[in-house]
This record gives sequence, structure tokens and C-alpha cells, in this order.
Amino acid sequence: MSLFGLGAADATDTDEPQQEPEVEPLESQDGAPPELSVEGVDLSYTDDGEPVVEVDKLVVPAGEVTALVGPNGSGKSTLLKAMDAELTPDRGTVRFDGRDVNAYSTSELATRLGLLSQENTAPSSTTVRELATHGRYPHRGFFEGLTEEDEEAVDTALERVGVTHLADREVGDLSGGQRQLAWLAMTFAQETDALLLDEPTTFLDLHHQLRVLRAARELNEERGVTVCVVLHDIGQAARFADNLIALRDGTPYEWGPPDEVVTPDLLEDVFGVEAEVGFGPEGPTIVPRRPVED
Amino acid sequence: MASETREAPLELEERVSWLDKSLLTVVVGSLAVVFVSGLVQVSFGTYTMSIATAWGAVFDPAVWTNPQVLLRLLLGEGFGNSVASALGFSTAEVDLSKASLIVWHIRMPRVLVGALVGANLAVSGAVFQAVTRNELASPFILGVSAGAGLAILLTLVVFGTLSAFLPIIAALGGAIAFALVYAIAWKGGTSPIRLVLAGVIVSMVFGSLQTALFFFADDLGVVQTAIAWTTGSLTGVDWGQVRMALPWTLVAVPLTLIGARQLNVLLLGERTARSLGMSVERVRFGLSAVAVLAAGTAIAVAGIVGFVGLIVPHMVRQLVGSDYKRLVVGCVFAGPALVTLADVGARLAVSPAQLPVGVVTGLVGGPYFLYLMRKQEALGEL
Repeated sequence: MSLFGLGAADATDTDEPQQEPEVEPLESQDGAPPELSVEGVDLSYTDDGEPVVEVDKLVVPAGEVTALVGPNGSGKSTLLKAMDAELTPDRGTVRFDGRDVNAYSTSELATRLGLLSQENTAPSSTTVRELATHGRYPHRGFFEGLTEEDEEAVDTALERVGVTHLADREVGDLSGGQRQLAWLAMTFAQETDALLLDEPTTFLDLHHQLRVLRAARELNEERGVTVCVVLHDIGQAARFADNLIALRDGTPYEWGPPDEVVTPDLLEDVFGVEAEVGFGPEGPTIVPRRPVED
Repeated sequence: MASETREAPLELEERVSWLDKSLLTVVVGSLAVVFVSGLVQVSFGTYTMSIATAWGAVFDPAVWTNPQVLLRLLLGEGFGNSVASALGFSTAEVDLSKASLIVWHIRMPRVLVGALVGANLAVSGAVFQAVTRNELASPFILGVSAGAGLAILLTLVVFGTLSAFLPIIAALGGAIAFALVYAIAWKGGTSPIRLVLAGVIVSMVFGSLQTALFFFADDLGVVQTAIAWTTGSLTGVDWGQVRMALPWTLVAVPLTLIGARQLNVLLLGERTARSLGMSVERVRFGLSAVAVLAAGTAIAVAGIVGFVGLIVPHMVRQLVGSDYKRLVVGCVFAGPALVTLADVGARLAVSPAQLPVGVVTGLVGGPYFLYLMRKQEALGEL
């Protein structure tokens, strides 16, 4: 465990062999899943404004699930926007698969990097299948209809997310959780090598939170997709992710596997709570006790 | 073998799956309304003839069996003749009865122009609603109509020689107004409410300029024409207007249909559309241009017929859902139905005097707008 920004030592962790080999090789250019790296990046929303996020170095390791955690306003979603080239850094570079994300064309990036936004609205008469089919947008030419490959990708996505039985239902008739699964199916149908999920479990009931996370985990295990997910609940993140990135005031406070990152100190410094941290076989467990007074 | 034969119809079924019962109902229903309105429309006019005579003229075999007659009407005397001879039809003059002449030369174009205007306005409104993700958007609300109207008035009053380019000029005026509205509403993004308010502001200013122009008109005739433009009227249109509007309609409608998938993705929100690889600004710009062209075409031949672009897409959406492939097809048929029906009202309401059709659509559209406002919990969000 080491503090971020003190050196590149953390990055070497990611070069260690992973515990399990991929089930299916990924269809990326060099056959390996892509890595996202953030180097010397300042992010701000206005031209002359103070940077909201400052990162010296940060890596979302290839083929793993990484969770961005932190309190409200710590810059999690802002950082995600930089990873998706929505926000151009004031300085520094975000690299996706070794190349500056801003150097990709929008359509090229969309075939390799998917994003599930925090807030999603679709016309309520859209069916789940129609929504999932929109995920094929970057793979289709301007005049092209749906190919067999597209249909297959949509079917697979619906199945992976577990909404095949809802395929012909209109999203307006679904519960919030089911709707989120439908949106997840859309990003799955996009068949990208990496996936960014912006607070996919916020506002969902527990059952659907777990279904969203399980689907993302299975996609990662079966296709080796690099997943970066913003999560609100550090306990959930600790159980779910291979790596945690804890942000505080726009800078990474700590990075690494949950076992190493989750400590009472981190919970106090970053989240402002006194908590007990236990170590179970499935990662750390967190029992928050009381808020720390400022 | 067996599986092959089973697959073929299945594939066909999938191909046309978007053409479902509800859309078919809209299409057939609209065609029926247009047809009936057309028959009513051709039965009335300054030259008195019985309804039977008028309908007989519509189905006059002398017209339908001589393609050159229809071609000459549709394409103009000279061009129609050359196309007829190129296609191997006779170009001989056909002696038509007086009733047929009146119905075909004077009354029929009004129905056709009404249909074209309806289709263009409806499609334009549908596109604007997707581009702004705002159910309240329409060429009228977004100031496009006011801009196009002003451009037309300027042309009529000041630059009379440019009348041949009216659709383009109207579209240009509409585009400028729309750009202004967007610029006013833009504040790191736009919201439905801000767009509507900006539209009201721009419409008001352009409306005042229109009124001001009346004072510079040389004679009363021009003022009257100008008033007809700004309220939207189909009185006195002839085949010239059909010939003017048809080509642009044949550009705008297919482009919109091609863009249906883009419109569907735009409806998912800017961020999602972008993450799916769409160049959002470019697509938005292109489709807005098509919508402005469609609105400009309608305004150039009939003036500002209000509310059609707002009501028709909304009604069609209630019936066929928000999928833009279905919605646009529905609008292409339902728009003509509304305008031709309203035009029957315009002709018959205070007979023998005629109202401009825009007055009728306004009288119907205002309350509908109100109904929308009261019914909707979240106003405007599509």
C-alpha cells in the first residue's frame, strides 16, 4: 500500500500476472484488453477555473474491475468524463490502450469504450430490445440495416444482463431497476473492450444493485472487458472490485486491491467516518460507527 | 428446404415489423381524411357546380387516361410535354369539360398544396422535437416560422425580383431565426423551457419587424398578400405552388426518414448519443437544417400555418409510439390530413367568405397546446 502520486510503483502492481486466464480472447487490436491510464491530469469545467480534479498518476488495469470511490463532490464522475474524452484535460493525458483518448474519433472510441451514464432517459414507448439495439449504433454504417452479427450481439447482451424475458416490454412500464438493466444491456450490445459505469447502482433496490454488479462482473470474467465503475458504497465496492481508487477532493488518496486500500484511516480521512474494518475471505467488511466531526 | 421456406416470410415479417397495426391505422385513416377533404374542397368555389359534377370531374377519364394532362399540370406546360414525349406518351391537347378544367386547374392544387404543407410542417416539427428533446418544439414555437415569414415579406415588399427562390429564402430566414433562438437559449446546454422562451422572444421581435414592413409596402395589394402570408392561407394557390414545394418535399422527407435512426439515438440524450459514437453537434445541425428546409418549403407556399408542426407529431406519437421511423412515416400522412381538413373548415366555416387556414389550425392548436400543458406533469421533456 502506498500513497498515490509518490511514484510509479503502483503501476507495476498491474503488471503482475492475473489470477485466472481469460475464458475468451478479446477482440481488441493486439488481442489484449486495454488499459486506461491517467497521467499528470488537471480537469476543470471552466477555462479559468480551479481544477476540480488533479491526478499525478492513476491506472485502471487491463481486464480487471476497478471501482472509483469517494464522497460526493470528490471528482469521481469528473474523472470518468476525462476517461471517456468528454472532458479535455487542461494538462496531462488520459490514455486508452496506449493512445490519447482525445486522439480517437468519437465513433472509433465508441466501438472500444462504452459508457453507462448516471442519468438515462429514453422515450417510454421504447422496448428493451430497441434500446439494446441502439448499442449497435457505432458498428453500423449510416445506411446499414441490422446484420446477423448485430442481432446476435443484442441477444447475447440481453441474456448476459438477464432481461431476455423483458425484451418486448416498453421501458416506461419497467421498474427503475429493470430499466437500469435494460440500459446496461445497451452498453453490453456495444461490445466494447472497456466499459465505464457512472454510479450504476445509485437509486436501485438491493436486488437490482447486485444484478447490475453481477452482470458487469460476468462480462469482465467472460470477455475480459476492462471495467471502471463509480460506486457510492465503499463496502459494496470492496466486495465487488479487484481494485479501488479512493478519491478525496479531486485527488487520488489511495489505490490498490481492496484488502490493502480499505483501512480505518482511509474511512476516516476520505469518507469522514469512524469504522471498523474486518477481513473476511471475500475481502474487507466495513462497519461504520459514527461520523467524524470536522 | 422446409426451414428455408419457413425463414423467408419470417425475415420479411422482421423487415416490416415497424409497419405495425397502429401505424397502418394512422396511414389509412389519414389517407381517408385527405381523400374526403379533397372531395369536399373541390366541390366548392366561385363557379357553382353540383357536387356530383365536381366529383365526376375528379374521376374524369379524360384526365386519368391521358398521362400528358397530369404531367403538364404537375411539371408545367413545357417540361410536362417533354417528359410525356420522352416517356412515349402523346402530347396532344385534350379537350376537357369546363367542370374538369376548373376542378383540375383551380381547385385540385389547393388540396395538393395543403397536403404538401401538412407533410412538411409535421416532419419539421417531429425533427425539432427530437433535436431539442422537447415535446413543445415546433417550427412555430422555435421562431423558425417567424424568421421565414419575415424573409418572405422582405422578398415580397423589398426584393420583388427574387420571388422564384422563395422556399430557399424562407428556409434561410428560418435558419437564422433558429440559430438566434438556440444562441439565446444556450447556457452550457439548453433546456426545453429556455428554448420555448427564446422562441417566444425571437418570434415577437420578428413579428414586429413583419408588421413594420407593412408600412413600407407601396400598395394595398401587397399588404393583403403579406397578411395572407403571415396567417397562412391556401386561398388562390395553383399548380405553380405544387411545383415549387414538391421537389423540396421530396428532399426533406426522405432525408428525415434516413435520419430516423439518428433521431432515435439523439432522444437517448447527448451523453449517451456521444458514447455511442455519434458526433452529436454535427448530426443535430444537419437534421435541424433538414427541418428548417421542410418548414421553409411549407411557409414559402402557404405562409405561416401555425401549430401543425406541434400537434401532428404529438398526436402521431400517442398512436404509434416514439420510434422515429414510425413517427416520421405517420407524420407524412397525418400532417396532410390535418391541413386539408382544416382547409375545408377554412372554406366552409363562414361561407361564402374564406378564412386563412392558419386561423383554423390556430383555433384548434391553441386549445390542444393548453391540453398538453395541463396534462403533462413534466412539461416539455420528451
